[in-house]
Amino acid sequence: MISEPVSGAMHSADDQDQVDAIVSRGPGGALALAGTAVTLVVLMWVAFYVLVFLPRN
Amino acid sequence: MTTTTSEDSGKVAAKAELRWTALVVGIVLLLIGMMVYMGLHWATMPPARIETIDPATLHLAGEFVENNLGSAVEPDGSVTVRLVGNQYSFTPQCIVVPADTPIKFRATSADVVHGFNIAQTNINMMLVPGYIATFKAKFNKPAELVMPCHEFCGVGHATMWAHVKVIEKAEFFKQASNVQRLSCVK
Repeated sequence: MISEPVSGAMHSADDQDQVDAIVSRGPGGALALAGTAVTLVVLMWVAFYVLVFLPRN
Repeated sequence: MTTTTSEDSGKVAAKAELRWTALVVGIVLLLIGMMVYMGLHWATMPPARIETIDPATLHLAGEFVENNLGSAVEPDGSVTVRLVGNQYSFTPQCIVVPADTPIKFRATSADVVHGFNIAQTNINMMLVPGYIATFKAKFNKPAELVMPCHEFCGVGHATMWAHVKVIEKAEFFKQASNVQRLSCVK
């Protein structure tokens, strides 16, 4: 588990640079997680439309 | 240096948010578009007009008197099915309809709110006392289907269901030529 530093060291210039470097790489993980979740929901909707709604006429 | 990097990372985050927003808006528009398409193409939409009826006099006069219930052949070759839901049965208990023919259901409730749902089809509506529910449908092939009430209507709700017999078109019209209103109630 990653713990945030409790001292004031977080506000040092080095830490800020590190945070900026990470943020500037983009939210890849968040997009992957949200993208997977949304894709699954949309696929379920399409599956119900094609496999349930259309055959029921 | 630090300020520039912060601005850069802020831009990256804002750009990612914008892209995500565009994607979600796209999905919402697709779903709304599909609703419009289904409404227009499949005619799956609420009735365009509201018809009211007095539930206290249903059995005495008007189109829902007992001898007018069941399937009726219209001059244009379509079929209108009239039925009433009441605690705890549908009248008629067994509906007979032709396959491959436009069918219009007209139904109402004599007492409380009932659900009207023909299993394995998209025919699904509410029967609300005081209102006439309408639904246009077409059955592709002959079948024997069940029609349970799907809105809890009281202690006997679980026993409230009817049969729907979809028969060949020619056979239906042959049977319909002898009677005014057709049903398969024995």
